[in-house]
Amino acid sequence: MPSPDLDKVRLGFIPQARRLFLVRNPLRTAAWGTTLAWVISIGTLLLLWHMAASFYPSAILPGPSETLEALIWLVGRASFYTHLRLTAGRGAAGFTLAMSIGATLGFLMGRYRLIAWLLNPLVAISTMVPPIFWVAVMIIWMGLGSGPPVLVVTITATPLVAVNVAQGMRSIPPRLLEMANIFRASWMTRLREVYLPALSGHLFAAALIAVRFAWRTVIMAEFIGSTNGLGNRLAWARQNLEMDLAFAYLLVMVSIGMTLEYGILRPAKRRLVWEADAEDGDDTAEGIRNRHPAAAFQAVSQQH
Amino acid sequence: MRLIVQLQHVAKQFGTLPVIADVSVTLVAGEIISLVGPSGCGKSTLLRIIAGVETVGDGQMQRYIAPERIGFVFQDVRLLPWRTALENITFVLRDRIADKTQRYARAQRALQGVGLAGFEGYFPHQLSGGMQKRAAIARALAIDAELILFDEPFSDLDLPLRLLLIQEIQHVLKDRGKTAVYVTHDIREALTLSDRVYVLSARPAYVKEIIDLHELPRRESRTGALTPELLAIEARIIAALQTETRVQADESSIR
Repeated sequence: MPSPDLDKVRLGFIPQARRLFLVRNPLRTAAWGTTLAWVISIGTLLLLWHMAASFYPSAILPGPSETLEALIWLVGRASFYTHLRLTAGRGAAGFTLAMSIGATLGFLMGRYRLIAWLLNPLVAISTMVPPIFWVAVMIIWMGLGSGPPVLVVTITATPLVAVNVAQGMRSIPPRLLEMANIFRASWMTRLREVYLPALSGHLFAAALIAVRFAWRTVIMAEFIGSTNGLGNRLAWARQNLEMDLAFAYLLVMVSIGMTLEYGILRPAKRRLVWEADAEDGDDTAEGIRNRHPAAAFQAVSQQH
Repeated sequence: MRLIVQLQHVAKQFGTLPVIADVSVTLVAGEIISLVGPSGCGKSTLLRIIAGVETVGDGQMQRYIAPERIGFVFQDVRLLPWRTALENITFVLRDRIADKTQRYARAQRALQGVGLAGFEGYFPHQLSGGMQKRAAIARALAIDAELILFDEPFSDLDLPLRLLLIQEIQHVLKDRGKTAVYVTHDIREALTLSDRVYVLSARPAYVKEIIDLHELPRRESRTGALTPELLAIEARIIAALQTETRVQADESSIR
């Protein structure tokens, strides 16, 4: 435990307001403080939802309890899991394609200036294309089915991954690449020992963005581009005016997305990603703050 | 006498800036030579030409050894920050030794050879400056290099540590019969370590003087101080380099 004086010295360059926010308020940094924040926000949300629902019939806005009932009914049906598997498979396929194509493109963009020069305008344009356009076009080209959701996820997430990886490439110190060159390291060795560890942070960030994006986009694409999957089920629920079912699907979608990010990806981060400051010491906000005030500031500001 | 590298009237320029005017160096197996010269005179460029990462401009270079058997010790260490000391050595052995057990055994021996036994699992940032240099030397030795190139490796260390490391690498190089080129701007380092000293001029570099130290005892065996002969040579080189510095200063004041 550092003394308060030490903290004062280390955080000396951070303005007073932020210093208060960093050091004096345990709610913002301690692990139980974060949990409490989640409980408070979700509780407030449920309460507001409940209150709003009491003003409307459940065919317009079902309350939390009706939604829960619909959810229980839903998870008891075998067909639900078939749709879930389909959607998860399409999302995973799109994610994998986007990650591999995006990482390769990003690598090439970082490595060869000509490729970056050629692709940068395309990337800029592609970020402005609404995903729904691709859905519409893909249905015409490929018909309804797994094709549209998978390809729409791939097309829309690939540039995001490429940009992140290209940015990571620029952060690799050329002196290390020259060292590998002088010691005649093979292409494989360079990739495994220099590029991948150096890019791991950017690849992880890209994966987070791609997962979030893939999960939301696959459902949107299924909504009009497929005859099955969660997105298609949501479309049916809407069409039949089964609002409680629609909200139950929303709960399913959100919890799966949260599980992917907070249950799988983020816990795996420490094992997959090399960080300049993280080899020794704990990764809690306290640990980061003790190591490096600037890193602490970043870590805290990312949480909010 | 087996030749290792021979440079014949090598010249080099970057764009319109001539860096090396005319340098000829003959390097024989088992020999340690130093290149000394004022800062920015093209010493490092010369070393990079020998390493094969910079092309020869004019003139010729013959290397009589395989490029895989050239080791390099950098001024800024250049260990992979995400790998441990041991993994930094196995990194350069990956493409040379296929068997993993052998690779790790060799890396371990290399670290032991520079006094880093017990620090295999440490990351570079957990090692002191001197220990990082030792790891970098171990890396160059581990690949069974015939020729090791040193680019001002100790210039950022304090004097006692620098002298200690110089003596250690001299022992290691001589024991194993390695050939080395040592670039430095520290004349005393060069005199302590090498068999021959090439004194280079200010940029563009040419060889001003070659001092052969093969026959000279380097240090008083009892006190470890430089011998009077070497001190006289040191004074001569300093004087020669000071005129070089003056040439540079004059040129810049004319512009």
